[in-house]
Amino acid sequence: MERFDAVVIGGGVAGLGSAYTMAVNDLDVLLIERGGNIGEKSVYGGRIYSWVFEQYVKGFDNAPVERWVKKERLTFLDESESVSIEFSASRACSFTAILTKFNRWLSEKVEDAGGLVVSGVKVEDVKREPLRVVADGEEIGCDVVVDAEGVNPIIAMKLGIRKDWKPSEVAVGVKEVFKFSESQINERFLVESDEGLANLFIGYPVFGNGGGFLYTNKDTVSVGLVVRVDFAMKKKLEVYDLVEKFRSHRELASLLKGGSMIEYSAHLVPEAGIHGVPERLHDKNILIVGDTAGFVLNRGFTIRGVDLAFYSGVLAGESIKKALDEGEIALAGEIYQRSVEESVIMRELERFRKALKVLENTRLYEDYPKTIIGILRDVFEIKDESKKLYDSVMEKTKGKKLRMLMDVFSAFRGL
Amino acid sequence: MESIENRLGLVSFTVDSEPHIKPKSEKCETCSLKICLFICPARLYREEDGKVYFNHEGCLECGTCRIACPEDLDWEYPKGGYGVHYQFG
Amino acid sequence: MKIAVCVKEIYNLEQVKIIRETREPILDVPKKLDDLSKNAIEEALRIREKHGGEVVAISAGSKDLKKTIKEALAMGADRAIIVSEDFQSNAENTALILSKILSKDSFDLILFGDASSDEYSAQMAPRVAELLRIPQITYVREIKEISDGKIVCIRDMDYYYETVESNLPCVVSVTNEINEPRIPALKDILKASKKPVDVVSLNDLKVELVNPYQILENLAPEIDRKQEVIQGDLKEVVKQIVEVIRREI
Ligand SMILES: Cc1cc2nc3c(=O)[nH]c(=O)nc-3n(C[C@H](O)[C@H](O)[C@H](O)COP(=O)(O)OP(=O)(O)OC[C@H]3O[C@@H](n4cnc5c(N)ncnc54)[C@H](O)[C@@H]3O)c2cc1C
Ligand code: SF4
Ligand code: SF4
Repeated sequence: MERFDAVVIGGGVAGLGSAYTMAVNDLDVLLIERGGNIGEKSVYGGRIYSWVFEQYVKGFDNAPVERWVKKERLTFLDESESVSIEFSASRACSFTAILTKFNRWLSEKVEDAGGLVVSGVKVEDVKREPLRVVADGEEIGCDVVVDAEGVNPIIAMKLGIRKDWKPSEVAVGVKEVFKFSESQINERFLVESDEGLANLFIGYPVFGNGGGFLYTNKDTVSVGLVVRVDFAMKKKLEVYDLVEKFRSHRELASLLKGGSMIEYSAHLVPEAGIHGVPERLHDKNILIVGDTAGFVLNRGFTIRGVDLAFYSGVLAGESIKKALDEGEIALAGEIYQRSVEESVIMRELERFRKALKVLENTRLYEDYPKTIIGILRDVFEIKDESKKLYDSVMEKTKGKKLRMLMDVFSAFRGL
Repeated sequence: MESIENRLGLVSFTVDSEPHIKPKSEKCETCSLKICLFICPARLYREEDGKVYFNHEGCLECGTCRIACPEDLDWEYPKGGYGVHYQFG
Repeated sequence: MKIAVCVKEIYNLEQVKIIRETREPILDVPKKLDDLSKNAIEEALRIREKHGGEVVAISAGSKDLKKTIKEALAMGADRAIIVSEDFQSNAENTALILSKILSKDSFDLILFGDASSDEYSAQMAPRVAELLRIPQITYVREIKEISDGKIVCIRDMDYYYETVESNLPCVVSVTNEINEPRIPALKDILKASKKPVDVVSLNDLKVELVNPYQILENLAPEIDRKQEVIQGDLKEVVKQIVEVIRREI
């Protein structure tokens, strides 16, 4: 039987983060990914917060960054019209990237550091006493397992480390990618070659828990929608046609004109915030990281999972190293648990506990985009007699002013 | 308009002859919601004469049907190396 | 027996996307070992199983080759010698590089796939045999016998099979009929990571590269899809489909 210090299940950003950290610390690590090539199973929206990669990955300068996000746009949509707010930043803290390529690049980093990465092999099971990973009908022995299998926690559930998600705790995301030329993107979105736009959408066509996104890459644009599974069930949304509807909206149609669709994809994303994180992140020398552990922050207008996933992998790797150094590998889980609890991951999830309540509020998605659009339509559309902004606001918010005010207030506090 | 079939045509797959997801037909027969019919982003569940048919070719491996189906859906990822090959995930 | 197998990395062609409007391919796809190269490796492994010896995978390709060559090692090749850097890739240059590597050692048998799935020019084996000034047998669908410094092969000539005997060392290019390449198991993949890969640079090899031609354009063929949708009653639909097929053939 082959033996390693550590076996990592899954070559997403979380698994790669843990494998990288262990390889850099000279542990004998094997990462097993079911996809034929690293990165081909990972799907996300489009932007990565850079701090953790800048801090931990040597040679980050060569990462496959598409564009640094300098423009943030929030758009309210009703069936046919839109209102946008744009923030133009002087410095960027996130970049757009294709996750497939980004993960592939990370896997090269793991290999350069001496880790072994095997793709095209699915882990079927993990057995205890002694610890073994079963794949391809073979068993591989190891001191510790990092389970980074992503949002469908098939193995973690089998091991009893975490429960499955309820429909209200996950959202399904669908994405399309369009090919343009680099200059087309620069001109259309008014950005320089290395600068990009992140555009989030509230309202049409979901009008509920979820929303749309658009990210500009170097010469492609990623567009898509995220909708909570319970909401899609309740409203019987035809998920396969959702992005089609979204894309056919005037606003989107004009942004995507002339682009050539080159890919369609779908993936689940944890949406329960801190409530989706199990109390125990391990069973002694089996650790869960990334989406499997529920480390995703949904602030309504941004989903943040990639940096947290990678960082949880780093913490897992460091904890394993520490436990091995202390000669007590069974402690790895405990050390990891503590370091996560003290880390920015839990602090952030804790801070946005309230956001979940705010995002529960369906008025945010349904009423408000329509109200805002209605007010501005009144102000700008002159047929004969023009309306004053004040009058329009009063009329459109009749009977719901107090509620709206409170929603806005709690949104500010929560998000 | 791009039909879901056209959109799936843009994605490359290596299809296993053995399906990795198996709806339990006796459960489907009595299932009142039949959520799979509209929740699957690849529209792989279809209904004909009251029966639910599933085609695993074209599965985007999201797991949405696994979460949404009220019955215990027999769901696995495809074998290693099989299934969808995203290039712009 | 000391067997060299010259293999080629290619784009994973099934994954290449075509931009519909411009017909340009998007070549940002993973590389893989060409299927015919796998037939050649498989044949080498079978000869090794019978006659003993060593199987060496040899290849010239891009930076990704360091990864791609592991497929050959996982199948069972003992070691590899590769050039893994960006160079003007054309049949002539590759032949120059391969023959230079081959000439540094003495192989009894040099195997090739008879062509590659991306370019299908079927030039490599003949070019290398010519440069090495040794005999060649192309389009081999079966290696019948190896003994007393001789090899007997059956060539697939489309309309007839030709049995050919040659002295060793010899270049042999195989068709995909010759065998069914094995699919490596996890333990083979793990073993492969420990096998030696000798990365040689073009500088060390002192090959003088040539630049005889340029690719001006690379576009997908125009496909004229009629996009006819036939709907309705099953019987009617079948009739209509038959009608359409009749019309189109
Ligand atoms: C639509 C959408 C939009 C998003 N947008 C953003 C965004 O803009 N920014 C952001 O930061 N985050 C975003 N996220 C969240 C982010 O994508 C995830 O949190 C992050 O990618 C999780 O990484 P991971 O490594 O935990 O999981 P994954 O990337 O899913 O990796 C899991 C890996 O494990 C492999 N695997 C699974 N089972 C096995 C097995 N049995 N054997 C071997 N391998 C196995 C899988 O093939 C996969 O490669 C988004 C998510 C979605 C769905
Ligand atoms: S939701 Fe589940 S049980 Fe109901 S029809 Fe679909 S697969 Fe069958
Ligand atoms: S996993 Fe996703 S794409 Fe596959 S059948 Fe289920 S819902 Fe459809």
